[in-house]
Amino acid sequence: MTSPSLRLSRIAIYTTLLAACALYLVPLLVMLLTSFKTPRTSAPATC
Amino acid sequence: MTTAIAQRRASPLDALQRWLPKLVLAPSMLIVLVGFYGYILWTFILSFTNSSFMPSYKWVGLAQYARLMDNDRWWVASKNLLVFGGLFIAISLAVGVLLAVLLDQRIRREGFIRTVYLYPMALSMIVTGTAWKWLLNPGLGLDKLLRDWGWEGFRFDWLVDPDRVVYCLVIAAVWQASGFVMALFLAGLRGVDSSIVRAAQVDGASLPVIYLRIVLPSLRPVFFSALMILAHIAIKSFDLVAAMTAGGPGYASDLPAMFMYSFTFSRGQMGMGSASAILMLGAILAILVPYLYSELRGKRHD
Amino acid sequence: MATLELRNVNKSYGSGLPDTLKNIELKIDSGEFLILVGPSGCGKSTLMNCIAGLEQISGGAILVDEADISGMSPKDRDIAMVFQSYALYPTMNVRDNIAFGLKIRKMPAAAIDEEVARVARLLQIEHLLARKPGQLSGGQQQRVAMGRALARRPKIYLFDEPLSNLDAKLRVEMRTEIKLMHQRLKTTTVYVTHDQIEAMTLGDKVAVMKDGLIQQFGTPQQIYNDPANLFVASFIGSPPMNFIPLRLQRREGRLQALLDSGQARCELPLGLSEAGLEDRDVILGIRPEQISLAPGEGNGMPSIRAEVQITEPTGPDLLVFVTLNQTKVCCRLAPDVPARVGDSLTLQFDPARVLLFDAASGERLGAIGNPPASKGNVAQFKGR
Repeated sequence: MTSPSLRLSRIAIYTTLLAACALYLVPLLVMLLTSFKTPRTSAPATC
Repeated sequence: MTTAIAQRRASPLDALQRWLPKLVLAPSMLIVLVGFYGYILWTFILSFTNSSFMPSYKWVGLAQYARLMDNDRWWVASKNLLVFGGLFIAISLAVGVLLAVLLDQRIRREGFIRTVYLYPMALSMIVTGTAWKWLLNPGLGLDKLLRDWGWEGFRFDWLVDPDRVVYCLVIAAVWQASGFVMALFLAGLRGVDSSIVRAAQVDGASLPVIYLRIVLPSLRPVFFSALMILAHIAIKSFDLVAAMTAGGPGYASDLPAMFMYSFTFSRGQMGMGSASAILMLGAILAILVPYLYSELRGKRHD
Repeated sequence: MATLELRNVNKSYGSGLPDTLKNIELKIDSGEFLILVGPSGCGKSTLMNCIAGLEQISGGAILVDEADISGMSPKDRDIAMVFQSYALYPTMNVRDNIAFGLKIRKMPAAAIDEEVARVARLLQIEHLLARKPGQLSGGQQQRVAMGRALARRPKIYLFDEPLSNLDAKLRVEMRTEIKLMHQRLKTTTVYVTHDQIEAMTLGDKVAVMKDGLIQQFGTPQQIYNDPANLFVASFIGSPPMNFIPLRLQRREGRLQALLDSGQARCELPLGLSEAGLEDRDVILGIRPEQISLAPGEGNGMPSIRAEVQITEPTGPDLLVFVTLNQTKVCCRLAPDVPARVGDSLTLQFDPARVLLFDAASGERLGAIGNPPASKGNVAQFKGR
């Protein structure tokens, strides 16, 4: 017997949390992908 | 008669028992005295000398401090610390509290989501700095990705913009530390008596009001713990800057810790480096001492 | 003040688990004090949370003043609640704690101050208004919690085991205060407790619960004198009712119970005369205070001689334990009865007060609602 407003707020909460999860995982992804690149295609070795 | 004899017999062992804790602690105390306070004292002394590459003991009074005040790079570094520190602490607290409050709502897979937010804390600042350097690299990171996806006009060159580079540091540091703030607050929230929330619901308050006016105010000790830890991370942030921008472009993203290192060891200005270190210590003490004083005073009144 | 009715209320926490609340039906009038009493896990707190709106019911309806509030959120239900742990807002002082609900409802500041003053006077907490909950004792915190509920002037008051966290002496004091307050304010109240003394002294109506079901709903006197089943009979009353398992016999057309103390036998005639009850396993229930010392010359009441096994002087009474039908039976006698372990006493029973329960189901045999013959018949302390 959950009211519609309750469901809406639950959806909003999950959306926020999962979006934040995605944001937090991006650098990990970057590191992972870069580790597979050859020296030629990866980021130039800046100072 | 027998009691007197018993006392005398126990005496040598007794003395050893009294001295044993002190003996055990003595080496650590010695190391702390010498390695910690001793070196602080030495740095303090050096800041009044004209040391360059090697320590010298020619007294110059406050000359090094005067040179420091005249040094533009020092002012940039100090200003950066305030901006970086302020933003980093404020945003980390806000993000951490928000995530903790959301996670407190009986979420499924809470353990997994919590781990995702917390894992950055496990990385060293060097790794964090490097990863974000790639990510924010104009022409190679986020910049290139979004343009490849079609958003032609997008530019994200903050990393090489002297006015904006500090914000890049903030982003990386917040990414690393906000998970920790979240963990602190989640633990605090879990300790809140659930009947208080129910009482507030019966009284007619909605959940956001309950959190803002009742639950979070009761977590003031957690705020202070988080604040202390974040503040000390901010002041110590040497590795993040070194990995991400190396103080660049130019010295636009320099921080006092980095300034001190490069002047003392790379540039051979040990006197000025020591002066800057002492000023950093002074800043920390200025925050820490009043806080400790208020905490200890409060406890005695209880 | 409002009437409260629960119609066929059900609550379950999901498939596979047994229902926490099953078919709860009860009704109280405006101003009545309802007690929900039962052992831990019986569902009384869940029922209270459902009335408050903190939990949703799975079936049935809750009606306040004939209006269905089952779908409303707690803040719309116009109820106030006092919790076992007081649940005061720790960062606010007492005044703000009491005023919080009123502020949320946007009451004007002057009216709020007036309410706070009224409530503080009523509960004698005026000198505590500036303090924070952490600086108050348990009893003071409880008063503030009650003040917070009173200030709202709701239709129904809910008390969730409010006295359980207090020490024994304070509990007795607060119990009397709650009763006085109820007499003055005539508030419709639902009160949850596991303490049967609170149930008996505070309630206008009592609902005894077990395993999510209401075992009996009635006035305290009804519950005490006329329990519907074994559980209710054993739960209310301290020391608890004696239960003697036996088999009924039919003698001269009337049903009798045979009591055997090892020394003597006694036939206890019973008022029931239904067919089919003889040779049935039943449990005979009689309260310790309904067993007394037989007077020297006898007075026609069935009596039996038994050996004293244990004596427990409690101060106001002397509890004497004998064995009847191999069961330990407790008798409450006057404190100055000279009984020692090993003595033989002649004890008498009033057959009109004796209750019979079916051994298998625990249900009471015979019509409930038949009052005992007459109060004067209970031969208490006649043996002195």
